[in-house]
Amino acid sequence: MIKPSNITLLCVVFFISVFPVSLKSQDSSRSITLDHKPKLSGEVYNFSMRSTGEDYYLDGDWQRGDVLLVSDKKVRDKLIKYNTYLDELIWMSEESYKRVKVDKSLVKEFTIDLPDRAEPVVFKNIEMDKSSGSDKKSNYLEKLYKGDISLMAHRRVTIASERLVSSGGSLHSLPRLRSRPKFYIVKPGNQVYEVERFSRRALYRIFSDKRSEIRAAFRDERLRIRDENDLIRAVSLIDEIL
Amino acid sequence: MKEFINALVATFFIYIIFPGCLVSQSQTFDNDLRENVYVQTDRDIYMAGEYLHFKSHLLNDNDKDLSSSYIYLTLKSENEIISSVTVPVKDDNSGGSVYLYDTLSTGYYEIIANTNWMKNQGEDSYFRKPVLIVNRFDEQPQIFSREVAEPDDMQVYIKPESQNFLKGHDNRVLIKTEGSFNAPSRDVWILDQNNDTIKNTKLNAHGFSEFVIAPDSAANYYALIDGIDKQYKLPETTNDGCLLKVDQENNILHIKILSAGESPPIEWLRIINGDNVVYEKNIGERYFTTDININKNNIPKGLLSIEAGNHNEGRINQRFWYNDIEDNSIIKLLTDQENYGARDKIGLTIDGSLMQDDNASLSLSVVKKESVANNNLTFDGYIRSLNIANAFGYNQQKAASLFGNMKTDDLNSYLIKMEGKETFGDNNKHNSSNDYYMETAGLILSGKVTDKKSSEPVSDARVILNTPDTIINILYSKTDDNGRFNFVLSDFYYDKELYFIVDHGTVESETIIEVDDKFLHESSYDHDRFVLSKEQFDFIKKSQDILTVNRAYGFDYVSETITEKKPESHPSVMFSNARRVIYPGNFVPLDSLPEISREIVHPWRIRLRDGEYNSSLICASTGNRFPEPPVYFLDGIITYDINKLIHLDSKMIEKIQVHNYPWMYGEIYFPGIIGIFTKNNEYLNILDHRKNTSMLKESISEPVEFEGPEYKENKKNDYSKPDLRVVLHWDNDVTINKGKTKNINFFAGDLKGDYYIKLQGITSEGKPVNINKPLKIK
Repeated sequence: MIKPSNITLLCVVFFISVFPVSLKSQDSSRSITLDHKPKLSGEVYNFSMRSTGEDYYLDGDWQRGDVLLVSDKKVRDKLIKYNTYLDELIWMSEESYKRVKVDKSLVKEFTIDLPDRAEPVVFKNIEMDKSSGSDKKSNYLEKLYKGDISLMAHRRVTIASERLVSSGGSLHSLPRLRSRPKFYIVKPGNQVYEVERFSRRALYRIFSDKRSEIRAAFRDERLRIRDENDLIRAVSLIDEIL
Repeated sequence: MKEFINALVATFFIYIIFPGCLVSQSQTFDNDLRENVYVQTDRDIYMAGEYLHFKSHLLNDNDKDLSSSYIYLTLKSENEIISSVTVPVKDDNSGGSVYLYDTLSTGYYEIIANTNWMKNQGEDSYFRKPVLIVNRFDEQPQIFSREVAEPDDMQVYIKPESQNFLKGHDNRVLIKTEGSFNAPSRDVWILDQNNDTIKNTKLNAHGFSEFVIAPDSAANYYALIDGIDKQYKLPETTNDGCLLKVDQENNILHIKILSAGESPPIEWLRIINGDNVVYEKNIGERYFTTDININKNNIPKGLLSIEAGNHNEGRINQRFWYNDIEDNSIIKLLTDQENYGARDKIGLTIDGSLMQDDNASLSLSVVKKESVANNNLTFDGYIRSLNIANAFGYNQQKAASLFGNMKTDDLNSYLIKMEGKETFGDNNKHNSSNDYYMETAGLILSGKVTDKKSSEPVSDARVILNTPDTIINILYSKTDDNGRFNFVLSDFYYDKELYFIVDHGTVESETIIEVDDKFLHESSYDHDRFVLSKEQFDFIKKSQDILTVNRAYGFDYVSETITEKKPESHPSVMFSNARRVIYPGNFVPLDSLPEISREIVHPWRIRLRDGEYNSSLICASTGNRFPEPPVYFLDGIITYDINKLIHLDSKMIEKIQVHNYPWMYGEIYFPGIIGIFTKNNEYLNILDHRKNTSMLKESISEPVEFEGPEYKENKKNDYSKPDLRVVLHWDNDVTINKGKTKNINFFAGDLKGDYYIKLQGITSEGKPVNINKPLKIK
C-alpha cells in the first residue's frame, strides 16, 4: 500500500525531474556578425484634422515597411503610414510610441505592406520642378510600373469643399477630402512628365517622337485609356516599343 | 491533495537551498568558429630605416562562409608597440608594408596579427613571428644569437619509437637535445659497451635526430655528442614488448607491429584522427611481425594516433604521426638562367600546369640569403603546428614556436617523444568568450561602460558617438548585460577623432567609458632567437653601410600605391537641414552666448540662476517653450552642459544651427537642438577630455609597393648610381591559376652573392606553398 509520505516523495521527485526550471538562463548563442542599423529621424508629429470624405492616411492603420535613406542604408521593419494630405511619411516609434514625421530630405524611398495589395507598395521621393505641374519641392510617388520608363502616382488628397459645422457652441470648418491622384511618367535621366488626363493623346504628347508606333500598338491592342489600370498597360506597351 | 501541496512546498525549499538547480547548463558558446592568421614577410633581418613588406592570409575552415574583413598587424618590441596597421582583407588575404623607423634600437621585435573575432579565442591564438632589426648607427650591435648554454645544462632525451628497446629487432630511436646548447649539426655516435661505434647520425637544425638499431640482449649502448664529454645511456634492452614502427615511402605508410616475449598479443591496429577512428584492422592474435601498408591518401591529413592493442587489454602501444598528404598542387619555380651578373634581367616562371587546385595566392620575395633566418616560421610548418596545438590542447603560440619551422619528416621524428595523451582531438574548439564580433562589413568599435564608483558594468546605457564635423552626425549603441557596446563604423569615421558620452537620460550615475584597443596585447614577448651564422653577422655589419649609401642617394625602392578612392560613405546625420542657421559674423559682435541668444537667436534663452546657466528653447511647431533644455552640439559633438559654452563669442562662432522642433533620432528624443560651429575647433579646448584616441587614428593604412629599378641594355653599366638592393623583388599579389604559368621579370642589383627566391602562399584548397630556390649573382 502506498503511504502518504511516499506519495509526497514521489511528487517531489516528479517535480524536480519534470520541471528543470532555469530562472537564470545564460545567453549562450549570439550573432557572429553585427550589422549597422540605420535610424529614422524627424519631427515629433501631432497632426490631426477633422474631415470627411477620404482618409488622409493611405489605408488608415499602421503597417510594416522599410525605408531606404539617401545614404543607401535601409531601415527595416518599422511601423509607418503615409499622410496623403501632407505628403509625408509618418513613423511610430515602438519604444516610446511617439509619432514622427520622417525628415523627407533623408528618404529615398519607402516600401509599405498594404493589406489589399499582393506586393509591397513602393513610394519614391522624387524631386519635382514647376514644369511637372507640382508646386512642391519633392513628392512621394507610388511606383506603378518600372521599366526603362516608369509610371508613378502621386496619391494626393485635397480639400474638395468645406462646410461650417457647429460643435460645442462654436463654428468649425469641416473639410471634405477627395482623392485626386496625379500620374507622372519618368523617362531615363529622371525627366518627369505629368500625364494630364486618362487619354491616349496625353501619352502621344509625352512620347511625340514615337507617336506613330505607339498609336499603332494601341490600335492593335484596342487599348483605350479610361482608368489607372489602362494607363499602366499603356505605359508597359510604350516601354516595349522604346 | 495534501500530499500534492506538501510536495510543492518541499520542491520550493529544495530549490532555495540548492540554487544550482535553477541555473541552466554551463556556459558554452556555440560561436566556435575559429580563425587564424599567417603573415609572410619578405625576409627576417632588417635595418631600421627600411620597409618591412608582408602578406597575410586568413585561415578558417568554417562552413558558414564567414570570415573577417580586417586584420590587425602590430610590430612590437619587448616593451612597446612600434607600429600598428589595420589591413583590409580580400579573398582571405591582404598585404602591406610597415616602415621601420630610423630610431629603432637593435634587437628582436615581433609581428603580431589577429582579427577582432580572434579576441574570442584568446591571445595565444594570435599569429606571432620574430624579426631582427638592426640600427645602422649601432657601431657594436648587440645581436644575440641563440644563447649558447654550457653543455652541462643541456638535456638529452633518448626514446625508442615503440617505447621498448627490443632485442634483435630494428628499433627506431629518437635522440633529442634541449637547453639551447648549440646542438644543431653536431655529430652523434652510438657506441656499445666496448666503445665501438655501431651507428652515427647528425643532429638536425632543431637539435634532434633518429637512428635505427637492432640491439643485443646483453649489450649496453651509449650516445656520444660531438663537443660534449658526457655519454648518454640508451634504454635497457628488453626481450618483452610491443614493437610499433612506422615508415613512409612515397604515398605508402608502412606499419610494422610485433609482440615479443611475454608481451600480450596484438589483435588490432587503429588509426585515430581527433575523435574518429579512421582506420581499423583486426589482425587476429599475433605474436610475430605483421606488416600493414596503407595509402596515405586514404586517411585524413593531420595528426594521427596509430595504436596497436588487443581486445582484453585495449591499447598496448601508440605512436603519433603527422600525415601530410603529398602535395598534388605542384607549383614549379624556374629561372631563365643558372647564374646572373650585376644588373642582369632575371626571368622567373611560375609553372602551375600540374596544379590540382583551382588557384594559389602567393607572395614572391627575392632577397639576400643572409637576410633569411634558418629557424623562422614557415607556412606549412605553422599549419602543422596549429593542428598539433588543437590535437593536444597546447597553447597555439608555443606550438608555433616549437613546430612552426619543422618539416614533416622532422616532426614525425619529434613525435616519437610524445607519449599517450588522453586528450587528443579538437581541444581548442571552444572560444573563451563571445564578447567580440566578426568584422565582415565595416570596422567594429567596441567597449565597456562601468560605474565610476563601484566599477560594476552598466547595462542598458546608451552610448553616443560623434566625430567633429561641420554637420551634426550621431551614432548610438546600448550596452548589454555585461556593460558592453558595439558600433559598426562606415568609412566616414575612419581616421577621425571619436567622442563618446553616455546619454544622461539612460544612466544617472557617473560612468567610465572604455573603448577596446585592438592593438593591446597582454602577453609578453617570448621568442627564441635566430641561429645566426658568421656570414649573417658579417652581412648585418655590411647592411648598415648599404643603408647609409641608399639613404644618401634617397633610394627606398617603394612607391605609393595608387588606389582608386572610393567615395566616402554618408554619415549618420541628425537632420537634413536645420530650421534656422544664424551667422554671428553678420551682426554686431557679441561677447558671450547669453548675449548672442538674447540678441540674435530669439527662440533661445540663457539665464544665470544660482551661479549656473540654464537655457530654454521655444518650439517652432507649437510656439510653447520646451519643458526641457535643448541639446547642444559643439562642432558636431554632443554636450549637455551649456556652462562650458558660455564664454563663446561672435568672433569664435562661425554659425549656429537652431533646430527648435521636438525631434527624434532613432529612439532618442531631443527637445530642440542647438548646433554651434566654431571657427577654430573650440571643441579641442572644451571637450578634449572625452576623446578616445585609439585604433581608428591608425586605420586602414595606404600601402606602398616595392619598386625596383629597370635597366635598359645600354644603360646597364652606368654606375653613377649604385644599386645595393638586399631585396631584389617583392610582390605580395601573385596568383597562379590551375594549368597556367606566370612570368615575372626583375633586375639584379650590384650586390653579388647568394639570394633566395621565396615563393610562399596557399592554394584554394588550403594547401600551403613554400618554395625556396637559390639564386646567384656573380
